[in-house]
Amino acid sequence: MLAGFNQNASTFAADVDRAFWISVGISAMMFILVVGLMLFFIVRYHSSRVKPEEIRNIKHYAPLEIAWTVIPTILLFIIFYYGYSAFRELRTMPKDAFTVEVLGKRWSWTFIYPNGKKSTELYVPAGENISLRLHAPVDDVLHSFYVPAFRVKEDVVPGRENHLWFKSDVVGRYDVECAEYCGTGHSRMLSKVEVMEKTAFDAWYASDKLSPHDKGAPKEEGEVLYQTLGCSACHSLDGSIIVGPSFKGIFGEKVRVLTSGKLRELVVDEAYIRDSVRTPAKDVVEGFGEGIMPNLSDQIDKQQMEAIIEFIKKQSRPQNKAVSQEAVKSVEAPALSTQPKQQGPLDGAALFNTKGCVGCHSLDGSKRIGPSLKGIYQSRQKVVTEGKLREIIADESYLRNSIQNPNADVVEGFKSGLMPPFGKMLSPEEIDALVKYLRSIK
Amino acid sequence: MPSFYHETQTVFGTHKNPVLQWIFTIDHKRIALLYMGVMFTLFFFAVSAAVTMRAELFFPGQQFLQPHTYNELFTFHGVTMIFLFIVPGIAAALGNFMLPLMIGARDLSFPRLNLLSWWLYILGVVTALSSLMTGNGFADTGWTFYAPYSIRTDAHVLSTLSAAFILGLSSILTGLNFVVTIHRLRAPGMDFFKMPLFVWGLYATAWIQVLATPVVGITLLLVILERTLGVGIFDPTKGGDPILYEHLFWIYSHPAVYLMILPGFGIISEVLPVFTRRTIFGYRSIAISSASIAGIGYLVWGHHMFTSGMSDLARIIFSLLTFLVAIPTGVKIFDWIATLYKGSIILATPMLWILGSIINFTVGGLTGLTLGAIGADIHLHDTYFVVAHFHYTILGGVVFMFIGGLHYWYPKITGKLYDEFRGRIAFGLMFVGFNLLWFPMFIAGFLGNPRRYFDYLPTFTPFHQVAGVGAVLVASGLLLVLYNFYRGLKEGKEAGANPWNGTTLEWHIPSPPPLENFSKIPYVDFDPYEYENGEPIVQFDENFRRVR
Repeated sequence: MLAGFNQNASTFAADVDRAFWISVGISAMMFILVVGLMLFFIVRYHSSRVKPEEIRNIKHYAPLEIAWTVIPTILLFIIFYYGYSAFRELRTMPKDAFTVEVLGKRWSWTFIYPNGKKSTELYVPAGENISLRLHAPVDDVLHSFYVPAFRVKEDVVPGRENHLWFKSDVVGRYDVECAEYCGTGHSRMLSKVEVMEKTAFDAWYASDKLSPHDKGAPKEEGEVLYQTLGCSACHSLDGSIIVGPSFKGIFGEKVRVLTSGKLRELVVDEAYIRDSVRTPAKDVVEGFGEGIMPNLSDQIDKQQMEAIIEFIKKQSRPQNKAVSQEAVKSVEAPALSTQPKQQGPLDGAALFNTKGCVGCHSLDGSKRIGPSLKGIYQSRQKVVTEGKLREIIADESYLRNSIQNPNADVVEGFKSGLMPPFGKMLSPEEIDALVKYLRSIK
Repeated sequence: MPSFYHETQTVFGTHKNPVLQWIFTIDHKRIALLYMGVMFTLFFFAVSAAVTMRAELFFPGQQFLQPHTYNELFTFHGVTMIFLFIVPGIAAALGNFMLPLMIGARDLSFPRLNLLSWWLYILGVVTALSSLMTGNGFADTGWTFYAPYSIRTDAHVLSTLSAAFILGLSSILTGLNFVVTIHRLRAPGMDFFKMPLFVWGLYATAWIQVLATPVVGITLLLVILERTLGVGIFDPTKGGDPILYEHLFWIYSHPAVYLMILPGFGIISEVLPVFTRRTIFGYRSIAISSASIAGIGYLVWGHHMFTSGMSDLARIIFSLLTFLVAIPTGVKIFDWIATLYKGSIILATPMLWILGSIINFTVGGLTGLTLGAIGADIHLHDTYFVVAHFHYTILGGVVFMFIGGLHYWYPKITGKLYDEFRGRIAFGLMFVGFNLLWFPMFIAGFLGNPRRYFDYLPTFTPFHQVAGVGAVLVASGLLLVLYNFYRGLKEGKEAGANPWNGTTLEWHIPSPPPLENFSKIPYVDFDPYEYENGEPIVQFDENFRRVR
């Protein structure tokens, strides 16, 4: 029951708790003094024990009055100081932080990582500074990102960007709660932050799984979007009503909708789904509130829209029992089938961002998990090959080899075994495009 | 001598119909009772809403309410308790009744304006309740109406803000009336430092009402600009800033907190000397601390916004200023405790409520320090810790003081005595119940239970269950208070002019008072709480000449 007491999982939680306990300690002292004296006086000077002539009409006593003005003032400044020093630590953003975008909206959290990866729970490596950039869609409402175990909280305000940071050395899963009232789903706007061993995090980060706990092949894009866009907060898949209509069996059905105040009947087809995602307030299914669903059009592209439509269609096929089981069944699907196929000449920069390279390799010279790729081409590098240090020049063949068999020659100072062998995951054309891109980074 | 219940003056002259005699009366005592009747009716509705919520929260998960209904309930509870009950609160009800009696005046300076204030209050109540109920359902924004949620929801924010504006106007007029009355109508000889401390509390309150309340009007004007002309002020889709709304809201609503509490402090300072049979300790420091709380209270609103995204420097400054308010508040509490020293303490019902309120308010005030410590507040903000803190100050503090004051002046207002035994039982129920209800919430908040949660994580179940039991005790305590007052009216003993051996002027006139209070205005050249060997020093004859 009191597990929360021990959950101080961020580096500054101890300082926040110290500020808390110092203030509670001083307060408890004052309380005991005030109430103790009060109770003592009530007993000692109860009318049954005091004769009228023993009453003393003391009007003031300067030394005492000065004491109880000055001493509490000093104590107050002590409390202020500890609060301030904990706050300073909470708010001094580290420069070298791993930055994750947090999108809070009614009523879901989405986390967007530097490599474009999205998740519905926040996964972070242990022992690293994590900085969060908090956003809400401009037409949404206030939220507040709160992790009790880390002692951090900051409002998520539409139309502006707020920040917070933390660093946790304690591997584990912690609650994320919305602390600023945001409507019907407020108390369900929960998530988790999972602090992972760095290697496990890196492996997940380079993969294309929604969550490190996903078994088998990654989920289909439609389901991933259903989770990460926040649809699941309001639209169930089992026919139950959360906030909006359930997706179960809705495709092809006749529904009654309100169109600018007038009731009409329509069939849920592709066009209607498209409309509902882009302009949710246009035709609202009868009995549901208007203006709750956000306009998602600037958060998804054309292909993603198709994936969503496909996903909703699937919920109306009778053989579909549960989506996640379906996803597990389709193990045969190639690992990268969820990524849209590129049309035309391959774009190395896009591959760099979508295949996960950007998660570990910066382009500006800063050190992340792997070496920066700024000016890598034709640079001298000390690498470890089969335990021996040697010096090489990063030419085209080295770059190509590093993508295909990254652990053959590892740059000195970096860990071996972190980077997955992309040889099996990328086509030769894609590797060519990446190498070409890397050559261009000066 | 006929009392004010038997004869009255109305704004239109005379009426035969007793209802008209009441609702058009310009007698401050009748107007006070009009306020009291409406306020306590609303109070009991809002308590019912609270008990309903506690029942829903008794187990985790959904019991019998929809999440949306729950949100509507806490909005109703907050709006009613804050805007309709506790802000007009002690000042409009007990203050209206007692102020002229305590300074030796026949009425307020502007009796007609006083009636207008009540009518505006009624208009405000009707507007507020109807704006909550019209629209597409009941408002579910919480009593703070934060933008942009209040803009996105179907609730009628414009009319709710209009209600706040009308109530504000009523409040400003009452404040103005009090300030002028205190400056102009004190009995001859009574300088500022011979006024009873309840009057000092009302004086500080009145200035807050006059100076802080106009911000509500400004906010309303800005919302109208935004809604009708499309000027982006609070709505980010129009380029506005939701945080500006928070600033404007709290610039009024934080001083409003002191507006609630200062008259309550005044009641404590009245009751203590009477039931210790001695003069109050530190009269001047209590009087001046009321004024300085009112002053500093304007400068601390930002502590409601420590996680809002306001600049870090501003947060630190607001944290520092917040601690400054604690100094005069602490001084008051020490003065009260010192008043118990070498007195002769009588634990009558008003005294129990007052002592209980000091204990509760001390907890509320001290936990306010923890919340003011900015690093700790980041964690505690918007959790049950905050909810517990302000219920300790407002319910455990102000409402206890209010009820204590009602018991204290009940004989003066009604001419009857309530049953002492029932009064003490009701206090016991309420004191134990209140602490059961709210203390666990401090822990739940510290452990990370956010406020305004329809549902909670199962780890928090024990706290909510203890609170549920406490809520039942609080509700039954309140009902017992009400029943006791009702029986007192029916079968209470005659109180006489001064059943408590009080010293202030209201105890020198009959209970209930006659229409214009004082047949002759007394000359006041003595301090308000003068006892000798446990007996009031000053005595008047029937023509208000001092005989002792």
